This record gives sequence, structure tokens and C-alpha cells, in this order.
Amino acid sequence: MFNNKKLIGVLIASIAIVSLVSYSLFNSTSNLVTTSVNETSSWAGRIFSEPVNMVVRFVNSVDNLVNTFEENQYLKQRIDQVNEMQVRIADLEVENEKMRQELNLTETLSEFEPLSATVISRSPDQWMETLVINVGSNDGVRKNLAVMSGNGLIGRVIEVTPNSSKVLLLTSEQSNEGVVSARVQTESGASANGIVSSYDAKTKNYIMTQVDPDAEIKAGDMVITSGLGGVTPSTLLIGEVASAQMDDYGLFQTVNILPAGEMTDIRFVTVILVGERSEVSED
Amino acid sequence: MKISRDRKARWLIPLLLFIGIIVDAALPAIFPGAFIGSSQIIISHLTLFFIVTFSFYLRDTHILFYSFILGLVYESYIGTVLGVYATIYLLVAYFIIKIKKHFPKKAFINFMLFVVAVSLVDFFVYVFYFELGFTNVYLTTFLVSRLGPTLIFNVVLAFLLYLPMKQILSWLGFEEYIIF
Repeated sequence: MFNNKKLIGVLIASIAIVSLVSYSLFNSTSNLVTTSVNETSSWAGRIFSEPVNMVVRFVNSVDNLVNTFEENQYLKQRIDQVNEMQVRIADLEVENEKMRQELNLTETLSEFEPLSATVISRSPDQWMETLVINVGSNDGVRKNLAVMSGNGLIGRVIEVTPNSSKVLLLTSEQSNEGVVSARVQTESGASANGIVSSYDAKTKNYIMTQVDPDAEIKAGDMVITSGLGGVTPSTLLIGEVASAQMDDYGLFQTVNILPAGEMTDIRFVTVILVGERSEVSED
Repeated sequence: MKISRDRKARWLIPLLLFIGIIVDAALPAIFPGAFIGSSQIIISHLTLFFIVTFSFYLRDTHILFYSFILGLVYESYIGTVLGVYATIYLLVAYFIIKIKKHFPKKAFINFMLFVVAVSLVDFFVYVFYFELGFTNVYLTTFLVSRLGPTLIFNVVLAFLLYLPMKQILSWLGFEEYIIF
């Protein structure tokens, strides 16, 4: 079936393919060719996703209108508390700013600006859970920015083209992109820092490791990003604690986190734009 | 007549494969609850359907080249690893070209080959990600929650595409696209 020439051809082709696969596995590929291909595809993808998203937006707005009266009643009760809280927050912010100046802390990761975006397409085979969204470097999106949906953090930008970008969800098993430094807000006020490192598909929980064994963590405590990684800004909500236990070696606690972000029905996301400073690489 | 058929096929086939890629990637974004719900994951294989059909019915259309290139486009657009889908699309097109002379040219055979191709592609990609450690889904879970729904969806897709495909193939000069 194979003569010599064919055999050599097949060998060279398979070597080329294997090297392409392994190169793209370990380096994020973003060159002129892939950028132009992705740009074209995302424009074509908009033709399909945009009408549907318009319908969804319309249905949602009608839905909101129906619920307006009840919400209005409820919000009227809340508004007094909000005013009070705002005054307190403003006061605390000023105080915080002064203390920062005193400590010469100029860089802060708690200042960010949200940018809303629409999902154009998603990876059909959910082995690597990626999304393509309709904002790109023209809107100020850069690599490694955090992406939220619903109320919580869902992923991180891994590839940027001028008008679209690719997001990898935290639920993917890929080790580098799926790691976020986090903090549990315990009741006693003591901080419990750790790393959200993996996702349990069965229980649908994030798993946070490397948490201080002495910290008293209760179910229902909020988990936020800590900003200690230097890339993801701080105070973004990740979820709430479902359970906490010691790990297999008895050295650290492992915390299961119920995600606050929407994990399946992702149509609209928010990209968290931070200042130009965070060009620090993850490692 | 021959020349105009070739010219039609030259731009129609890549265009259809490209549309297939866009639709495949847009469906889970448009209907996330149905396609990537909690209990099942459905992978739409419109691109693969076009590859199987064109390589089964038409001759001399550079389908091997197009399937490899469009596989790369697919991965660049939506995935993170380049080369997996491109290779498996190329292999599917190659095997169908090799075995097609043993089968009568009926749409029913085409659908069966499509079912085999879908199972083959999904299984190959699953083994790839499983061996590299990007997933820890076991084979039984994969069969029940991914391959089963995917096959059902894609069979329905193939039957729905029967009439449009008949139009396209007769426009390309192939008349006898019938189920039995």
C-alpha cells in the first residue's frame, strides 16, 4: 500500500502535526495568521449570535417591566440603608486613601473599570471551555484580564484580536490559566488567603487550597479575589463557602466554593479593565 | 460543463465548511442550556457533515486540503490547541475517499458514514484530552453524557439537511442523492 515516497511523506506530515500540537499546547499562539482568521470568523459569528442576543435582551427587558412594581416597593425600603452606607463608604475611602499615602502605596489593584461584552461563540466540545466575546484590543482589553458573569468571576482573557477576544473559563482543567489567588472573608475578620486551583464537575464547586489551617471558615462565608497574584484585581466576588476540611496531609485546609458567577447560561459578560501597570506575568 | 462544475465547487465547498464552523461554534453560545447543560453536552458537527458528504459524492474537489485548513481555522477560532481537529478531519475525508467505491451512492449510506465519523472524531478528541490530563471524565461518563446526545442530535441534523443537500449536490452536477 505504501511505497517509500509515500511513507516518508506521511512521516514528515505527522512530525509536522505533532510539533504543531505540542507548540500550541505550551505557547499561546497569537500571530498575524491566527489573528486575522479569528477576526474574520468572529465577524461572521456575530451574524448568528447578534439577532438572538437582541431577542434575549428584549425578552429580559419585558420580564423586568413585569416585575417593576414589586421591585420598586422593595427598593424603596432599601434606599435609606443605601444612602447611609454610601456616606460610610465615602468616608472609609478617603481614610483608606490617606493611609495609603502615608504608607507610600501607590499601586492598587482595587481600582478597576467594568466593560460589558456579548458572547459570540463558545467551544462546542467542552474540553477546553473557551468563549469568544465581542470586545478586543480596540476597547482596551488585554491578555490576562478578569472576566465576570452574573455576580462572580468566571474566567480570564487568553487571546486578544482588535475586535474580539477569547476567554478561558476557570472551570477548565488547564493548570496555568485556572489559578486565582483568593481570600475568604471570615466572620472574625481574620483573613484566610488561598488559591482557587481546580473545579469539581460533579459537585459544581471550585476547590480552594493552601488555606491557613487555623482559620475558622464557615459555610456561607464570601470568597473574593485577593489581588495577591498581581494580575487579577482584588475584591471581585468568586462565590461562597460550601464546606471546608483539612487536606489529605493535614497541612492546609481545602475549601469548596459555590460559584457566584453563572456557569452555563453565559450570554453577557463583564471584562474588568485595570490600569496599564499589570503587565506582570503570572509566574 | 465540467469546468463550470469545478469552478462552482471551488468556492462553494470552502464557503459551506466555513459556515459550518461558524454555526457549530454559535449554537452553544445561542442555546447554552440545551447544548452544554448540566447532564449532557451536545456537539454540533455541521462541518463534519459537509466534509463527509462532499468526500463521499464528489470527485477531485481538493476536499483533503480544505478539510485540513478549515480544521485549523476551527481550532484557531474557538480552541486553544492547534492541529487536533485538522488531523482528524483530514483522516475522515481520506478514509471516506478510500472506501467509497465499495458502497452504493445512497444518502442512507452517507448518513451511516456520518454517524461513524462523528463517533470517531469525538472519541479521538476525548482520548487526546484525557491522555494529556486536561480532563478526568471517565469513558462511561463520556459515552452517556456526551456521545449519546451528540449522536442523536447529529442524526436529526443530517435528516434535516437532506433536502438542502439534495439541492446543493444537484446544483454541483450530482443528481441521484436519494435516501433508498
